[in-house]
Order: sequence, then C-alpha cells, then structure tokens
Amino acid sequence: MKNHFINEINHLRQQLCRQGADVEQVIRQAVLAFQTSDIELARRIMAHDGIIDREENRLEEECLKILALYQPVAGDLRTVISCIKINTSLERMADFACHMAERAMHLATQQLQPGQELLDFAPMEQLTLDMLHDTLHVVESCDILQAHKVIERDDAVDALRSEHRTRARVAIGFCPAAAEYYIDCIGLARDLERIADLATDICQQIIYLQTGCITRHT
Amino acid sequence: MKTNIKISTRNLNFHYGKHQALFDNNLDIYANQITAVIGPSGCGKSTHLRIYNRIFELYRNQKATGEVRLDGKNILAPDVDLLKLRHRVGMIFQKPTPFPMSIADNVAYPLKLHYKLSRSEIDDRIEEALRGASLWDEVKDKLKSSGLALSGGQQQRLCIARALAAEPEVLLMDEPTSAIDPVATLRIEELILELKKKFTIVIVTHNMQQAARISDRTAFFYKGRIVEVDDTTRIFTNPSNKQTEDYITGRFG
Repeated sequence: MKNHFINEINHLRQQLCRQGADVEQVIRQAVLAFQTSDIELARRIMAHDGIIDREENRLEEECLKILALYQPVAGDLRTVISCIKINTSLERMADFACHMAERAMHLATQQLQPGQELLDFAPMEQLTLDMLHDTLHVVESCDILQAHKVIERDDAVDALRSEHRTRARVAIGFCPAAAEYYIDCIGLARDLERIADLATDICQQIIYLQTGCITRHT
Repeated sequence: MKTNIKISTRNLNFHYGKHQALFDNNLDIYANQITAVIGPSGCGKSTHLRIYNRIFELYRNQKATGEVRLDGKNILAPDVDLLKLRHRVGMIFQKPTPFPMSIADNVAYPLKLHYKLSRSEIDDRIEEALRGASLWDEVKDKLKSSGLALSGGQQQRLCIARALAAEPEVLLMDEPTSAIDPVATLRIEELILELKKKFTIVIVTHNMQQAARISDRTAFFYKGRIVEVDDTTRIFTNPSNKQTEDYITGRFG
C-alpha cells in the first residue's frame, strides 16, 4: 500500500510536469503568433485550450482521489495541495496564451497606419518565457534557491509592463488611427505580466512544498 | 497561546527488569489540552502513559526514575498517596473494562470509594457522569442492567463515565477506540473534545488521523525516546524531524 501510494504521488508529479511542458509550448506559440500575426497558429492555440482544460480537470480529480483514499500528511499532503494549486496556475497561464492568440487574430485584421511606431516586446517576451521555463524546471527539481531567483525577476516584468503601457498611451496620442494596435499592446503586456505573476505563484508554492512556509503576501 | 503546564516530565527513564524501555523523556502536558502520543508498537508510549498514575507499580520489577511533576509536585516521590494520585489521574484502557455489575453501580463505584454521599447525591452524580460521557439518553431506562450487556462503544463510554464520576484532573487514554467501530469511535472523539474543557487529556493512539483530528499537541515516540513534540497542526503538515515525517507518512522501516 505504501509503495502504491508513493507511485501515485510520483505519477501525479510527472503528469503535472507534462502539463507544464504543454502550457509552455502554447505560450511560446502565442508569443510567436502575436509577433507574426499568424492567424492559423492563433487558431490552433485556441483549439488546444480545451485539451489543457480537460487535463486540468483530470489532474484535479487525481489529487482529490489521493486525498480521499490516502489522507496524506506532512510532505505528502503539501505535495498534493501544491499540485492542486500549480495545476490551476498552469491552466490560467494557458488562458493568457489564448488571450494573446485572440489579440494576434485581431492584429492581423489591422492595417499599418502612417506614423505608427511598433513597440518592441522582445525583451519582455524573453524575460517572461525564461521565467516560465525556469519555473517549470523548479517544479521538476523542487530547487528552492532557483525558485527564489525566478521570483526576484518578477519585478522586472512588472516594470516592463508599466513601461509598455506608458509608451502605448503616448503613442496613441501621436497616432490615434493606430489606437487598436496600441490597445492590443497594452493587453499583451498585461498577459505577459500575468504569466510572470503565475510563474511567481508556482515558485512560491514549491517553496511551501519544500519548507512548509507560506511566503505569499510576505 | 500561553497555557499552564499540568504535567511536566523530566529525565524520565523506565526499566522492565533489566530492559530499559524509556530514555530521558522530557515532556510537558498542558492543562485543558489534548496531547496525543504516537509511535510504532513497542516505542514506549503506553509505558510512558502508565507512569502518570503509577499504575505500572501493580506489576513487579518495573521501575521509573526521574521526575513526573503533577502541578509541580513529583508523583514518583515515595510519600505519594497512590489512591489520591489515581483519583486525580484517571485512566481509560484499550478494551472497555466495565465491572460485572449494573450500569449505575459501575459509575457509583468510584463515588463510594472516594466520597461519602447520600443515595440521592449518588444518583445525581451518576446521571451527571453518564451525561458527561454522552451515554445518559441511551441507558437512563436500564440503569440496573449489566454494564456488560452494552455495545463496545457504549461500554467504553461507560468506562469514561466511571472515570468522570471520580472528578479527575487528568484523563489518560490508552488507545481508547482501537477496539470500537468507526461510528462509535467518532462519538468518543466528539466526547473527548468536549471533555478537554474540564480535564487535561493524554491519549495514546495508533490511529494517526485520530491524533490529527482531536489533539492540540502531538508527541512522537521511537525506541523509548521522544523524537519530536509540537503543535499537532505542525506535526501533520510540516514536522521538523525526518523520523517523524517518515512515520506519519507511512515510510517507516
């Protein structure tokens, strides 16, 4: 029974990592779809969301089953609770990928206006994708030092979001005809910033899993 | 939460003949709290409990050294009146042990032993004790029937009523629900939670969920030593010691 339980827990963690990899892939594609206004890719991302949603439900049921059947305590309890919360965060990340895909589809219908300045999202995209990638590594390794390093980068993403928002607002003043584009940019900055927030939440959850200390809101 | 220490154990060692069963146990039991004692079979948890009212002295070749202070006074001192001590520190055992007499007489037994009361006072105290043990409604019409005719769960509550009748300060419970079905177990757990308002309770249990459900503090024993004592919530969410974690998560051995 004991071995069976340990296998179940290990299996749960593997499935969570697999879901994480899937979500990372979707977010990378969403960034690409926005950069290239690729409607086809955006459609595929949105269609894939249902698969991620179903996997979220399945993982949650798996966690509930383990709670009901084994009543885990201590480290095992923290593992299952953390899986539940990380699972939710991953699914919400995928929702932001969908938002980005919607924006990409909207952008594809817009014409470039005279005097329209294109905002450079590359640094923010790269920082967010790196945070996400490292977060998924933290989920696998449970390395709390690395978790802290990821969390430290969240402020930089927040700063880039406000910078983009300010630049987009100013740009709308100069080129009101491109307002739709800049509104999408503000939305994209928000999506990326929220993904980084969720990555931070996941890292905090791993710190809780390893130490038993809740570090959110501290 | 600042609480008063009811029992304080210091450097407690225990020997069964030449075999040492407890090693330098230090443990504080807080007043009006439930302290759960957990650990694998043979780890010394029942042995430890049996020292608190010196019931081990009913057997030969058993010796406790060190100090067990009840309200600051060492109960291992030779001048302690054992009858008074066991009056103050009651005990409930694993198997229900009703005396082969009526329900009423079972509860009246300690009253007659410790107090000089009139018939009507005894009747009042019987009712009070049976109500305290959540048994009154089930037995009020058959107080003259034999205690042995009750179900296992009822018998255990009768034993709790008998212990309560003596108005102890501390209740020791040695696996009080291990011989009882799950529904009766939950009733007794509810009862134990009620009882802590009046008494200090120490419970030895093999049932980890039970310890988690009802106790305020938990002590983990292993090979006669106290490995970890902490708030129950902490023990079951984030124990400090690896051995405790391995035991409560079933990874032991």
